[in-house]
Amino acid sequence: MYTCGIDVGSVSAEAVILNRQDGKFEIVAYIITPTGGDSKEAATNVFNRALEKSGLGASDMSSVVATGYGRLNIPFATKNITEISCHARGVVHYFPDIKTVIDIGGQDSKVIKLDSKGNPIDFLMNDKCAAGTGRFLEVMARALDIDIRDFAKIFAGTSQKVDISSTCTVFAESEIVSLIGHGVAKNSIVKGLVYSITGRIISMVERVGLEGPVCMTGGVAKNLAVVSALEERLNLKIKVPEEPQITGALGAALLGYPKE
Amino acid sequence: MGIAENIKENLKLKIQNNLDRNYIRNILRIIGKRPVLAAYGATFSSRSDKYLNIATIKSISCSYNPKNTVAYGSLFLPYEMFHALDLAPFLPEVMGGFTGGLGIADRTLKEASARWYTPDLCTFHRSASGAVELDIFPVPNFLICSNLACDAAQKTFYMDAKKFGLEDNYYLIDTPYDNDESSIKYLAAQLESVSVDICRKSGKKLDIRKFKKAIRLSNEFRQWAIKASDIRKELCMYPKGFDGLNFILPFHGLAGTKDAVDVYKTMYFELNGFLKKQKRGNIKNTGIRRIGGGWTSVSNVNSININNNNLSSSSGNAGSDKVKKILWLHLKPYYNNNLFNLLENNNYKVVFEEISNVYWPVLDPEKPFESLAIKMLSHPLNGSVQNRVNAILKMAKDFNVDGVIMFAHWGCRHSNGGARIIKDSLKEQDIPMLLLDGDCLNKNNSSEGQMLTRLQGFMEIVDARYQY
Amino acid sequence: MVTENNVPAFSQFIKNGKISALPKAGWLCTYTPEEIIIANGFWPVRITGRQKAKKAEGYFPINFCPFIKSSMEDLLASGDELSAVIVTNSCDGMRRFYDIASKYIPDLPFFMLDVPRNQNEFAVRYFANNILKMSAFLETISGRKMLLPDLTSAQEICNEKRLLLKKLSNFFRNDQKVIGARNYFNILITSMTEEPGCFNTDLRSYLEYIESQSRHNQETPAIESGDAGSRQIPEIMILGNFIDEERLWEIFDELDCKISADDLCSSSRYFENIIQSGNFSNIFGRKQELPNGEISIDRLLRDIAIRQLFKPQCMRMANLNNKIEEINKNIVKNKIKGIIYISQKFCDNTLLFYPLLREKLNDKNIPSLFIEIEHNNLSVGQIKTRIQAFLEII
Repeated sequence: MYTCGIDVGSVSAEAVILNRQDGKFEIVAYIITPTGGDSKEAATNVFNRALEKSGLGASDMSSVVATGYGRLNIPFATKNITEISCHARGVVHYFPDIKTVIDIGGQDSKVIKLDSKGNPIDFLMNDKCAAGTGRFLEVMARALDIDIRDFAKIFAGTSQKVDISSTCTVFAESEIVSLIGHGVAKNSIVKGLVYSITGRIISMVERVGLEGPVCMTGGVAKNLAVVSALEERLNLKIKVPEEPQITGALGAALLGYPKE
Repeated sequence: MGIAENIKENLKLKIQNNLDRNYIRNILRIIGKRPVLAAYGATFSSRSDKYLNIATIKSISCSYNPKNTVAYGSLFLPYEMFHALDLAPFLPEVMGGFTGGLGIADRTLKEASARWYTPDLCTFHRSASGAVELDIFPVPNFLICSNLACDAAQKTFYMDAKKFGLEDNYYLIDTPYDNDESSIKYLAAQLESVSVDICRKSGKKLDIRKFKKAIRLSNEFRQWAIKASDIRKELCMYPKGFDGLNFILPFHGLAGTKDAVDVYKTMYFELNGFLKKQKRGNIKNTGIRRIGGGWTSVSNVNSININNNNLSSSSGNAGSDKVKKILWLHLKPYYNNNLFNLLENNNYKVVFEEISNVYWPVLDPEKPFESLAIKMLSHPLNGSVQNRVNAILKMAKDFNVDGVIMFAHWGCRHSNGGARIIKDSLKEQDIPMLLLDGDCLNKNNSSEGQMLTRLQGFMEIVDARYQY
Repeated sequence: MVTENNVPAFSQFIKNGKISALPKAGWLCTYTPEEIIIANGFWPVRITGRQKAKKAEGYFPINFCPFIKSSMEDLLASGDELSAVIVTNSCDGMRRFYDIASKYIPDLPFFMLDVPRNQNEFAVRYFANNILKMSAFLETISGRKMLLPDLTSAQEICNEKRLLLKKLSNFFRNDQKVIGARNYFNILITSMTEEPGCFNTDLRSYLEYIESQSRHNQETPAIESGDAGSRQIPEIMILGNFIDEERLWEIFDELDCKISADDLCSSSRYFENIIQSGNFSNIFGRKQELPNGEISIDRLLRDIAIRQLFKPQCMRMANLNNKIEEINKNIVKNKIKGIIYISQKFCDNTLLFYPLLREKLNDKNIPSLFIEIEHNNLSVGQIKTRIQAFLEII
């Protein structure tokens, strides 16, 4: 029995095709692409490409569950469920004992609290400002003219950091320009930036109440600088799924199965 | 669109294109005339809504009529005092909310920013200040405000007073923190001295009989408001167009008037009629409109239905048949939005609102100033957040709610500032609460997509509680 | 640390403060009557938001007074050093501070002191009664009653401190370069946190030292005041709420300007207005009923209430015209050429006063610079550029 989960976020869209056999789940295929300007088109695109990759047809899917901010705009979805429930479900698939999920995506970041059975019981999302999101890092990396993939290396190798004062992306960008103008080393700015974004996340974690084990999902979970800064500030080890970016789509596919 | 909406839309456009105090006064003069007002009222399908709208128009018309002595008043003041002093109250904060509904908030807010009002300030106050600067609001004779709940009103009112050259007719009712003997004495003395001063300046004598009358009416209102909310403890089926979050004025600017009594008396009889119908079983369980449905639950998370004209398709079920009861805290967005459709389509009903809570004891007409002081000091937003928590917990229990939603208005130092304690206190009672950050009147300051996701996520969590 | 003119910083003069064995009571707002804390046998320590808000962020919304958040962080980090905390009902930020701190730090006793916003007879009476309640609260913690001699001696200590700080501030005004802005504002913060008696001794000897140094250094013996204009150094006034940013004061030391007046909750609003018992009897234009010379606790509480309500006022007070008048007097007296208005973000009282002030200043042709900062989170580069540009303009 196959299901498909589609997660259309602001930056990227993912599809996961899942098979259940003898009570065991297996990811048959998954696709990640940039969302681009049209979320409906992006959804159709990832769906078709995932089908192609798996060699299955749309009629083989017993359900197609949509999630992400584009979830309301997918005509072939059989239902839609929020990212909150989907990320929680996706995480529990990998790590059944997780109590707190930190998901940092392109425009959104959220902290989800789970009960002992892995059901979401509370959550928080960032306010409308993009300061605690992947977008923030991208904008800043551009302002610094540094490849975002180098952040981890720089972070680990730099002891100095500057305080980035702003809570706002636009403001922080001009501040960084001014820091560069004052000859502050780029590496310490990077370090400051990573602490700045983790500061925002930590305050959300504080608000729902920290409880381990903690898992991180979303595109930013691939950024080891952010992960290690969070580990340092939370004083615990953070688990990250093999492909953190597809957690939402995977959770959606899992929620497409009837409850056992 | 119904006739009422059509008329309203039309008026809205007219006002948008003629943003001026005199123009609004003329419009109000036309609508305020008895036959027109009756015709306007007839367009509302809910009778309580009709009475509310008529009373509101009457009240606003009075404040725009230059023949009256007009007093700006901040929320949470005892308006019984205004009516006893023959002052036509005008509530800039409430009218600031109207700027959202009228679609002129972007202009008033822009004006406020141009005048150096901080953009981090609550938009109710900012929009009202912009409207004063743009000469949209009526010219007052007096300005009375309090620091109950927040600091913003006392500052913006002072600025308004300066704009009209009325610094000497500006009064701050300094509301004490505690509700005890010395506070009552201090507050009552202020209410009395302000009343005396206003009378002296208007060349009148303070008429204590008018205070007694206003307080008697206030008590009568209180009684109907309690009866109406008692009915809502059982009611799931509401008249079309009824929204408890609209009934702000009877608790504030209309307090101490016959109009406030009539609105709530009407509400009581109307809701009682619906309760009888509901009990006779004519309408099963709920009158809430549902789209889709028919599916049985396929997972531990129910799919939430967002179907309606604006939000496109998802086929899914609407959770279980049970109506989930919501207590709504603070206010709502006053521009078009889909939050309430999303709730209704998924069998969620706002069964009570924080603003409909009767929080004060019966007032003693023989001791008017003391009584009004007690009323102010009983307000759950005065003093410690714990007062508000206690009030919320009692409401949540009385109405047996499944969840609490707080629409945390951007820049509101009370709602936002106290959210953590309120949420934790509800959690201790195993009541889930959603904090919905947004802006009540500035659409550009709220992300609807994010709000809908939060709301949907919250409903998924509440629904899941019925799975075990 | 040494200031520009090689005068050692005050920190080197602190001798005794740290060793006092008195229990500490925290306070936050200058409307708190410090003499009541002292009279009840406590060492008053102002909570100044030293810590950068981290854990505290979780308790408050993002758009909330950063000084309050940092103060909460201070309490979370070292609240156990305090025996009690006095909070005032001065603004929204302070109210939420009380709510949150008292709920989430349940072992620490808090008292909420209500401070009126009006300045009239009702307000004085009400406030005096509240101060009495505050004293009763402290009595339950100390386990002993506050007596008249306790209060009179506490008042002497406070008055002496105010006089010394006033002297320091005059000194700073007249020769800013000797003391240095950073050093000056640091001394003020120290005056709010050190044990008061010891602080007075230390500051007295510091002032003596500086005076002797300054006599040595200056060829012209008289202290010039007012003819700074001929030297073309812009004389400015700093106005705002609680501003304690070393880096900000360093900017002023680096730039060529003269802070001829400062009106901050962390500066003159703390020490201005000195009480001499009986001095305030005529404040409402009528004679005090009490015979002169008869001193009682009630009488002193009334004086304290009047001192607090009529000191240079915070923007929270009702009558903003009074504030405008205060500022006008300052401008005339100190020949101010421009005003730098600094506010913590999200402080509605301070931020909402600016539109009014700006208009009044425009009428008088006094330019003003508006700066919003976040406590412990200063963006130095931007702010320096703005201040420098403003000084160039005036």
